Amino acid sequence: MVDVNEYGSHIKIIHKSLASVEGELIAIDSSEIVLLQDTNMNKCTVFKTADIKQFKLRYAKPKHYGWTIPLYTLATISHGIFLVFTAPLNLIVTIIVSVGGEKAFTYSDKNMTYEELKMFARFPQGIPSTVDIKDIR
Amino acid sequence: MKNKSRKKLISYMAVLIIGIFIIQACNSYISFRSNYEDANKLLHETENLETKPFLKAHLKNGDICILKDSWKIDTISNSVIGIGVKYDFNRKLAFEGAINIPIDSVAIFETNKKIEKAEKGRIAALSILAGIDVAVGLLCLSNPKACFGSCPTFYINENDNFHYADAEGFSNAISPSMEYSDIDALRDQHVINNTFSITMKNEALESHCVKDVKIFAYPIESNQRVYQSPKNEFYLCENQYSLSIAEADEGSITSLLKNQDQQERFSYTDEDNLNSKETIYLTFDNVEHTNNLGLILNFRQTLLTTYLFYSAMGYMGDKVGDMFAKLENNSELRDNFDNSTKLLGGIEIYALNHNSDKWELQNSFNETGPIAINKQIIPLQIKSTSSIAKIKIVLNKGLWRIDYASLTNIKERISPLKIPPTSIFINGKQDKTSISEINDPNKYLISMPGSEYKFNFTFPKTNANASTNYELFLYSKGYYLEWMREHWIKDKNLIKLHQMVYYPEMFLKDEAKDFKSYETTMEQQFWNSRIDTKTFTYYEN
Repeated sequence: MVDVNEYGSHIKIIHKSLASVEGELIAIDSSEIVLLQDTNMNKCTVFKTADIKQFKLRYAKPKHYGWTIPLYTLATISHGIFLVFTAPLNLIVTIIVSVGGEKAFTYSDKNMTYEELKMFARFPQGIPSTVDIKDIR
Repeated sequence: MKNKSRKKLISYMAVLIIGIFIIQACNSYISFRSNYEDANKLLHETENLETKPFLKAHLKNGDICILKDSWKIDTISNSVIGIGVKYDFNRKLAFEGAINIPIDSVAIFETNKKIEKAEKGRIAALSILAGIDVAVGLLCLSNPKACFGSCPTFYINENDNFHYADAEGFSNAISPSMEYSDIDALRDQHVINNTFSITMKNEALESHCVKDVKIFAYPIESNQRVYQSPKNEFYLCENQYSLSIAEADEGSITSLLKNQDQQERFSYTDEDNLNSKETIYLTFDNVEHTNNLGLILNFRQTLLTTYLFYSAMGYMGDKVGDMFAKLENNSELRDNFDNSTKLLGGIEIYALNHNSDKWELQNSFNETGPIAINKQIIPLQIKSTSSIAKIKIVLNKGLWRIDYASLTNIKERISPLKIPPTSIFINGKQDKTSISEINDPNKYLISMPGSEYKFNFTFPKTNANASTNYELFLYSKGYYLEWMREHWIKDKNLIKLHQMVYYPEMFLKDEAKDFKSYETTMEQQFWNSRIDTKTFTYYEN
């Protein structure tokens, strides 16, 4: 549950020159983002915000509605000739709902600043002075 | 479907899509989380809340305490007290229970309002859509004809819907070997600039294989009409004698049969036996010329034959492919396949011989299809000097809808012009492939659900700029393949199918009660969905 989750939110960083990386948002300050990557949970990585092209943050697990696209659309076969209208209607609505479901619980650089992004880090106050970044798991 | 109706439907769909989009997109979670570096601010902003949010205290050493909604700030001890859990900086559980957190040790307080019903917009959208789908599905289940149509339908006005179909082609040709040609009377038309168009639609879940489409035409004068007999003979007629009295079991039906107004007389089937006959008596008491009389009848079928056909498909279940292969290869089975329908019979016409005072069978009308109204004539064999003519009609209960009956004088038998199409348009664009297919006797024009083809015909030239009044008939030849419906497969019952084909009397008795429960809703819906306001030119005599 997002309400009581002790970790930072999941973030995908699209780097200007390097490959995209994903992981837990550990901390962020005015010039750097600290990330615990999904592919390397033993070591935090630091990225300069100036090198980041985009980010996408997900703060809760999405519900997947992709299954409704074939199911609803195929169900219109029982509508006879009206499927000419109901099949596209079902297709459009289920695609909208599915895309909406996938995009739920997300923010990106388009609707969130780095300052606001702090709220979703494991350490919104920044890396504590008593913690060595190498020890974070 | 009329353009206006289509636009209306598309508008509704657009509004629905936009509405659903708004409903499912209106959720915003941007304000669920707040951070406070100052405990006083936290205290002031949360003290009046009925339900306190979850509180996370991010400690300066990297640990975190998560308190449930029972926490409070003790301003005397300058601490936060509550029940919750504490994790270290690597989020390993350090403590669980009553926690007292000195405010000085806290770097940031974080509150999180519970995200409630986050999916309600999307679930609402899918629920609305499911509701619409179920409603349309039920409508189609209770009135399959409204949704599935049958065989190719033809429209002089391409924007008309199936309630106004001018003709329906080869309704009985449900497999390649059953292919046949069909002729349907159209309205009498003023053909302007020697051209005429008619639109063929596939409004069903069927594949239509159309071998030929032609217009049969005969030029007529103002007091003349041409009618087609059940044997596809064409008669030039003059004079029309209106019905004086029409009586059936329910009493007078004169007003229903007197005019061509789509106020049809129909009855319901017998609850004990679908194969039950009834009688209608017609009296014409103002016949001026008694020679060469012909009875004109406008009629179509109810949905009974559609029900029987769909039942047969259902009984085949997943064997439908095998059964149709047998129909193709076994002529005896093919002949017997529609035994139940044959047993129901046509509309038998009897005329009263005034000399012998006996009813004499003249012929019978028998044209399959519940959509387009057939307009046909039966020449009467009786000779009478009386100005009163009496007709008896014997027909199966619940099988026929009759709109109009009148008498006319047959002038002569004629041969109409047979005019092939000169071009075919699809969506406003000329399609050369279609015209070559329809004009090639070895090829078929394949029409799939939703397809529309506009056939254009060029008539022989008459006076320039003049319009000629023609009596028109549509000739169509081909067959169609009904698409199996998923919900039919569960109705598989080969024993019932066997009974239907080889013991039709028993089948029609056994099936009476099942059909009865279906019939009332089906016929009522069909009747209610009719629109009475439209005026056809062929109403005018």
